[in-house]
Amino acid sequence: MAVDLSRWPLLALMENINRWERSARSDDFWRTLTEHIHWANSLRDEAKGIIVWLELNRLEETASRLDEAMRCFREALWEFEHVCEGTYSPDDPRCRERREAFIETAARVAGVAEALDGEVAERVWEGYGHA
Amino acid sequence: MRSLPDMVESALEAHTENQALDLARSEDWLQVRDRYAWLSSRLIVNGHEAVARRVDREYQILRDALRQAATSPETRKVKDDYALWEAATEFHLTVKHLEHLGGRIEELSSVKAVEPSTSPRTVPKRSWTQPELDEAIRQYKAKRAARFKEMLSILDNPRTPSSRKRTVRRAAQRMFGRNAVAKALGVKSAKMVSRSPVWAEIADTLGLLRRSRDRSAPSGAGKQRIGLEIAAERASQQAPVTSDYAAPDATFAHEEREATLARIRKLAESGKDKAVEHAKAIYDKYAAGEMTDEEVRETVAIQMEAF
Repeated sequence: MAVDLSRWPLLALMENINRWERSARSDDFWRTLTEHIHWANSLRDEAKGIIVWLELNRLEETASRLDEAMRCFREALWEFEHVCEGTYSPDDPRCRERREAFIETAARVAGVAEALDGEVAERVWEGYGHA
Repeated sequence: MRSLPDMVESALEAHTENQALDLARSEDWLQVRDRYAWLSSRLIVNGHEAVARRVDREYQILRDALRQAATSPETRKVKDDYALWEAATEFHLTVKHLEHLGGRIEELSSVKAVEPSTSPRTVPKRSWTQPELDEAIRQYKAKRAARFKEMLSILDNPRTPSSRKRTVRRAAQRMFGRNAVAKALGVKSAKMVSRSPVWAEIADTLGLLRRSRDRSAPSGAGKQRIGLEIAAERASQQAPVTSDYAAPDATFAHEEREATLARIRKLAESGKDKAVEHAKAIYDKYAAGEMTDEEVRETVAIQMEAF
């Protein structure tokens, strides 16, 4: 039975990143590149929502750790796009290397999200996602 | 009214194929600046310093990227400028989430608005001797020296468009006009202000007396010859507000708001007792249109002195 993670946004983020990571490691990655980049940008959006919420709840330090992990993720995404632009070929070693680095930073974000989930009190999430 | 994230999005969409300079000069960007100033102050007066710092930081990065792109000798399109696009995306995501939260910014605030103890509207009227009043006007001007200097530099600049001079003179009238000064100082008879040589000098320097002198000028065949500049100035003062004037007027109005919001922020960040609570009350009234720019500045000045 699927577990509803909506009450734990950090775990939901971690799970979404893990799903992306598994998919990005597959050979399909090169065929579905646009979708993967679009997906990565939606993870960025999701993380930003959490960061802003944590700051509004005066958990700056917690937010800054996720923010820093996301900064690395964004840079890796840009590096990947910059190096592979025009070819996006799995045969290009530099491009493959950038993909690995990109996936690695995503895994790190998932790790940070999991660690922070244990530190943030559940009541902080009351009202999260509801305007 | 469009939301800030919508404004950022539409500004980027409208100029994605253009160069950064077009975006920087656009009405879209002016609106983004305006809404950003409101949002940033709203966060500060509600005690959300961390988020306000984030919004400020991301906005500065975006502004710097835009400036750099606009002054760069390379002519890249907006969509091809990584730094600019990246900065805009980060700023857009933050303001989008804040917009989605709506009233939660206030709900999550620990700040309770406190009515400012004194406002310009409640300055009690009192009797003045002329020398006392002259000194008070001198101090009134000294406290607004920066604004006075700024207005004068705009009015004295021959390259300032006449429409803008007209708007600035209107703002000067609101701040240094006879009635404004009388009201701010609690003078029973505004005529005493008119008789003050200190005020007369201010009014003359800012050209506040010109209109009444103009009205009393003879008309018809005996009319005096006037210089081209004065003629242009008079024409601009008498001209209706048309779209030709709308752009500079909007820019000035924006600058006025930006300066006013900056004062509210300064009060909120002053660290003085109940400063944030007072700033919140002032902000709420200003946002609701219950206080003018001048009233806000006066009230902030009084609050800053009250501590």
